[in-house]
Amino acid sequence: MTSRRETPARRRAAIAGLGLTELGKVYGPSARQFAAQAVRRAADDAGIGLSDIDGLLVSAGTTPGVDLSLQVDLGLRDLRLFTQMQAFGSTAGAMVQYAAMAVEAGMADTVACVFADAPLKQGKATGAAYGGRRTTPTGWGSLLGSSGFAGPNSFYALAARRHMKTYGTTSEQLGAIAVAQRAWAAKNPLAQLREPITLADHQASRFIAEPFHLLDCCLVSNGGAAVIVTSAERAATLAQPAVQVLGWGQAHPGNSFRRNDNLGLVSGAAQSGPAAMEMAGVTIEDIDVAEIYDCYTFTALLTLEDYGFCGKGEGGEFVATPGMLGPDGKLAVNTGGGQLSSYYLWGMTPLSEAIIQARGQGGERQVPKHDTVLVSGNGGILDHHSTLVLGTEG
Amino acid sequence: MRINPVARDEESAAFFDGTALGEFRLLRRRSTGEYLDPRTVPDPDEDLEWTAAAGTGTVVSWSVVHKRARDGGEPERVVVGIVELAEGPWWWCRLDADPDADLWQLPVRAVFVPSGPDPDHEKVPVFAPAEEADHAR
Repeated sequence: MTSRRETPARRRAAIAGLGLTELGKVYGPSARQFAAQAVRRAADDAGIGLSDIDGLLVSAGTTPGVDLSLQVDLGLRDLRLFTQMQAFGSTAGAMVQYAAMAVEAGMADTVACVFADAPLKQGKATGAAYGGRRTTPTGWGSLLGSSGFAGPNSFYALAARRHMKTYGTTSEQLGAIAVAQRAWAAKNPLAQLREPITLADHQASRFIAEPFHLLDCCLVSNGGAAVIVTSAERAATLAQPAVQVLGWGQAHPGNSFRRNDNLGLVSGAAQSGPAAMEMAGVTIEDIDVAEIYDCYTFTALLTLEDYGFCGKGEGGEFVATPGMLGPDGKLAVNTGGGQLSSYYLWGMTPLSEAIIQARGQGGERQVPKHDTVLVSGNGGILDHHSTLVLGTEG
Repeated sequence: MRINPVARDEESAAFFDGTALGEFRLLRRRSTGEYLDPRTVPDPDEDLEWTAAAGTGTVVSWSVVHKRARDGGEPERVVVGIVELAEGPWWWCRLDADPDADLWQLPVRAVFVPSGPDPDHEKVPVFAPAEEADHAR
């Protein structure tokens, strides 16, 4: 980290472009087409041409086709950095990290990082999008499904239950996150779900996997998102306010299915958060906006604890404190509605909203002070974590 | 208690040989005696052996999965959980337990349930409250 502080400010990485396709129940384009569209839109947003891109990092969701074919689809020539990456929900943040390192090392000047997915099929239930894959019921891989587990919903429910039993966290406290984020989403034209909800609505929504109600679980969305990473010096000459990449970290605790004593109690955010803030030279008190990966309400609660916004085990009380979350709250968290209410593009959901807020382009939902923005990514069953600190000051 | 069919493959064969005999098998390092998850991919240089575990443990966490009925009726409530085995490793499994009960840290014991009617449908370990499982034996 010391070496990074020695990186001249002009060489440090910044995000210069953001491209979002139409998001949500959007049928027609394939995930591969969404990926190319997102990169084109990110380049347009930055005010550069596709031919300026000399690095490309590609990340697929659940649907095939988002891969190295993207270079040809976009007609990109002579790339100096190009690969496909996969660390599930932590990938988007991680892609920005690798792109930043490449830019700072002089390996590439302008790196596009893209994610796209199209799990929703017209006329099929949303639940089928992530639960419907059939594998031959053979060997280890078949045991969980055959035993009654229902994918990530049930896995995260186990993590949440452990936190609830250990620290006294309640379903109503988880509901406070869902209610607050929906209030943000009501102000976000990009959000899929904008009708306000109450805690009673949360409690009355059907159980998916106890302790999770439907309103504890994220959306499923089709679409793509891309960002352009370049040097701060170059970003300053382009079309958008430059968003500096001030610090980053990753943590991969591992072993969640075999023996992870911290499952549901502490996540990798407890390591990657402090590492990212130290690199950025900031503390938790300096964070103006937090965009937190929220595949479930519980994921957001655990990450807030692990980042140090409150003490370990105090997350439930913290998020349910009147006046803490939501558009008029003390802490600006998931200001676009998050994955629960806006759109689910894995780690691109918190990253895209972070960029919008840092630039001051949030419209009705813009947070007044937005100099330092914390972004989390979380993948697997709390297995993979990435953190970014973004900034626009100085 | 319905478990959907599971067949063995090369990696899981020794485990399912055990379940057929009513044994929950773990891998163990001969050198240190350390118990490892049965799904551990062995390092060819390591001296691992299969060993029968006690088949007992305590519930680390649980969830009640609601499976929507095809006919639109009441959803089926399926109890799943994580068991910390007496030997240390964790095992994610079906729990044969009351969906409305508090299962936190409940002592449980493995019972081995046929996963289907065919000869290649293996027996799958399901964990039940230890007292009830002992009673049924």
